[in-house]
Amino acid sequence: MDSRKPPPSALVDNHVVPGDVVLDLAEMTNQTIKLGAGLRQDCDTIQATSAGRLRLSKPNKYWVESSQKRYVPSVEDAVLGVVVDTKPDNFLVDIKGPSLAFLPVLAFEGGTRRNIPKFEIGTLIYARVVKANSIMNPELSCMDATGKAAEFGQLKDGYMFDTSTGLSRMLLSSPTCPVLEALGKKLSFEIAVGLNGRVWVNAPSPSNVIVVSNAIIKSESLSGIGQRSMVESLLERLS
Amino acid sequence: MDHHQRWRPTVNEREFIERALQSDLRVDGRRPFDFRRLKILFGREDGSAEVQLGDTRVMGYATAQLVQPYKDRPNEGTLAIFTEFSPMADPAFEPGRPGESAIELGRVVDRGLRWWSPEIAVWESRAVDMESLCVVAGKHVWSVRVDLHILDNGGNLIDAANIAALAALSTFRRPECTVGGEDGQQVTVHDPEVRDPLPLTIHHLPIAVTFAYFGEGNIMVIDPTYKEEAVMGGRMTATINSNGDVCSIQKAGGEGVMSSVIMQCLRIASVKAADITSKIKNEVNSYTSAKALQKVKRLPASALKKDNAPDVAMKEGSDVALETQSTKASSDGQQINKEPPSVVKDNKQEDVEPMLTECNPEAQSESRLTAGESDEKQEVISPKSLKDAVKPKHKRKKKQHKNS
Amino acid sequence: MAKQGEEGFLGFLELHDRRRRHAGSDRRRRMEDSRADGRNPNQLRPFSCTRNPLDRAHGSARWAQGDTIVLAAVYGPKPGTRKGENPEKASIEVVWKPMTGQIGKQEKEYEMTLKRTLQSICLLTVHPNTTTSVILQVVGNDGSLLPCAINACCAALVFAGIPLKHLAVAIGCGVLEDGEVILDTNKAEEQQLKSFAHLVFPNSRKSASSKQPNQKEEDSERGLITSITHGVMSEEDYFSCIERGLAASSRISDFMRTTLQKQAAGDEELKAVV
Repeated sequence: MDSRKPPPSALVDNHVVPGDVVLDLAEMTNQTIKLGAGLRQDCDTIQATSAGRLRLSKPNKYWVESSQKRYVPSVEDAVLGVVVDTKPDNFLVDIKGPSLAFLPVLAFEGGTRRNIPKFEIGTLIYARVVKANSIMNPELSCMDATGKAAEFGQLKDGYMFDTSTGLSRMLLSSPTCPVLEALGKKLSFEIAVGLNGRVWVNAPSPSNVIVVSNAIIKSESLSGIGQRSMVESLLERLS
Repeated sequence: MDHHQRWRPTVNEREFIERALQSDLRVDGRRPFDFRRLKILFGREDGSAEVQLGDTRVMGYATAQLVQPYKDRPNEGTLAIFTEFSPMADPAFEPGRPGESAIELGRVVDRGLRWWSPEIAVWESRAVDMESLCVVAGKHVWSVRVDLHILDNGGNLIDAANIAALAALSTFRRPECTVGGEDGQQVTVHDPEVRDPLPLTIHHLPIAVTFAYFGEGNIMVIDPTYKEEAVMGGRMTATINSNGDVCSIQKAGGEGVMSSVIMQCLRIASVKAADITSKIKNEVNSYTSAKALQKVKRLPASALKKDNAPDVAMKEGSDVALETQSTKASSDGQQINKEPPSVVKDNKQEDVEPMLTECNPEAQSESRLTAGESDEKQEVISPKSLKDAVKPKHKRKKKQHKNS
Repeated sequence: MAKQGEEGFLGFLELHDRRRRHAGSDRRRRMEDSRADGRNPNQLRPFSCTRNPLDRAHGSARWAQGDTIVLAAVYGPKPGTRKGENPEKASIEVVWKPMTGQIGKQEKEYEMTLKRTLQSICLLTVHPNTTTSVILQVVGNDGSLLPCAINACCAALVFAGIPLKHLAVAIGCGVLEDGEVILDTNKAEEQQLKSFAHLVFPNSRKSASSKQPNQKEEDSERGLITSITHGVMSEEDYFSCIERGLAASSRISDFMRTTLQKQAAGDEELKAVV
């Protein structure tokens, strides 16, 4: 067996529950594996710590995919945060995680001490997670990796609502998920999806914002066909 | 700990909820005077009900015990409503500390149902008959307690809790009592298996209907969600029965509201109260007939196995003084006799899918026709004991009405 | 957000289990004396679990064993720990709500037992200096209340995504006067018991490892997490409880696994005879 190509775990794409042994390290030699969410090493074994589907991103990254109402920060995730407090160096931002995130007041494109944005409490921000570990508060930035503002920053107007992390992932998946595709054919609207289980929707008329929001909320437990017919019936009521 | 704070909307939510209301739109897609979907479920035990109003959930549980009446109301039983906002329902609710809204909720529900407020000596709306709860005047009356558990705060807890209280009281049954003995003061509490327990006498159903006000009090919606409550400028709860009587109006501060708007609210509220009343009545009726049916189904099987003596839950025998239940309730030392307890044996045949049958088929008094062929048969069917029926809890709480 | 379906799931799982149960009762012909509700001594009542019935809670479960029903809600992890808790670890607090009245000594003991049991299955180092609140509401009590509550909490913790070493599976074992052990006791049975043990085990686990341990070995690796007994019993009776309880806990584990897998396919109530 080629030692640089580890055999994938027999449980890949299966459901696991906490305690399940996903990999037995004693059977592997000289191999590197990367562990993502929902896994831990216990002596010679890799065990699941949450319930969900075991995923493998080739060649060697494993994680457990699940859907929750709360969020565990992970670097490079785009999130929707709510400003809860302002300190001299940081905005304190709620991203639905175990602790508040810091958004440095200078973490904006061209940010200097002179042009610190003024955010009142309750301001909605689209940001990127740049630091995440279990000991320190996670850190956010409103710039992409090249220092550009990109789409990040304050989101004005529109409406924000909570979803599960699984629904957020579905909305961000490609190809475009059925609910957004069906809505997009009939209505024009802006949407920002945070991987932390928050969605922001904006459109010129409030009724469109409400239809889009409710369609997304209802899509959680529906199949693709179910999503399309649900959108149809919502739009019928609108006209 | 920021999580202990009340839910706060983002700037976007606050502005959007208000802006949408300008054009009579609500974020959950309802129109201003639509209630959320109402569901009423009943538990295994009589007097337990769970109400879902949209995402809001409240469980009501009614129990009763024999107590000594108040000196100034010797012929009346008592009714007490206990509410605590469980931290289960909302992270802002802390255990053991009833907040302002918990107190307000308890009082609004209480006033709708209560017979008489001793603290301020006034008649209340008298929904639940208290005189029929008297067993021996001045000595023994039934004290009914309703626990309201707020399980999920999706907003408008008052209306949901009120419905939960009504549903629980409507299905509650207390054991029948007879008075006898030499002095005519000896009370016999009949085993619910021997004599059908009795429902409460409920004269009318007072329905709480809550309105939230926005802007300068000129925009209003019915049955607000917790998000709307976080943005609203004020709130009014009208408690109305299906006769159109106003049982209580609660509006504690907030934006001033024109009397023309209040009149409009009351008109709407009485329509909603009629809808909700019939919903409650329908659900209660189907629950009671389902229970009666269960009992009929089980009768033949249970009659067969009547001789299964070794499995009695309570020893067959002479009158046993209900010392646990009654002496604490009535410190005057009167003896309350319990009827010879019945053979308590759950009889199910093994070839029947054993566990999908309910084990609690007491017939309701309405179902006498089907269930009442003989008292003997009823004796053997239910495993419930008298101890279940006469809750011996809170024996020392004689002043419970003041806690509500 | 996540809502439960009202209709139960009664699919292959139940059929399969029914078959197994019948086979089991044949084997145990000698124990003719079935229980008052028709169960054989090892038989559990029908179990059901609803995922996230509550909207506001971060995770919740409604767990029913026959007519014993407990609703469990989880909030957290939220920042900070209470005074007296170790800030280098995650802290867990448990609140017990009875159907009526104030909580007494019994309920305080339930809270303590639950807290310690949950602490032993949670990975407390993943989110240090945080608190996770678990709130239990008794919805119906027909015996084996504490085991039902522990199962409910465990499911709610998983639904909330709290990192766990493994699951906890609880079972009520009753010892009758003649020394016979009955499982998942109901209230009427509990009144006739000589003694009883509420036992908690880790779940039975899947392994990707090539060396598959057999059931016996696997079971023996699952050490007892919590044991609360009441009444006098012989040593033999106690070990009989453990043996039977452990066997039953594998069946409950299977049910829990199926329940948790259901979450991906939407929110449904899952019912089964285990």
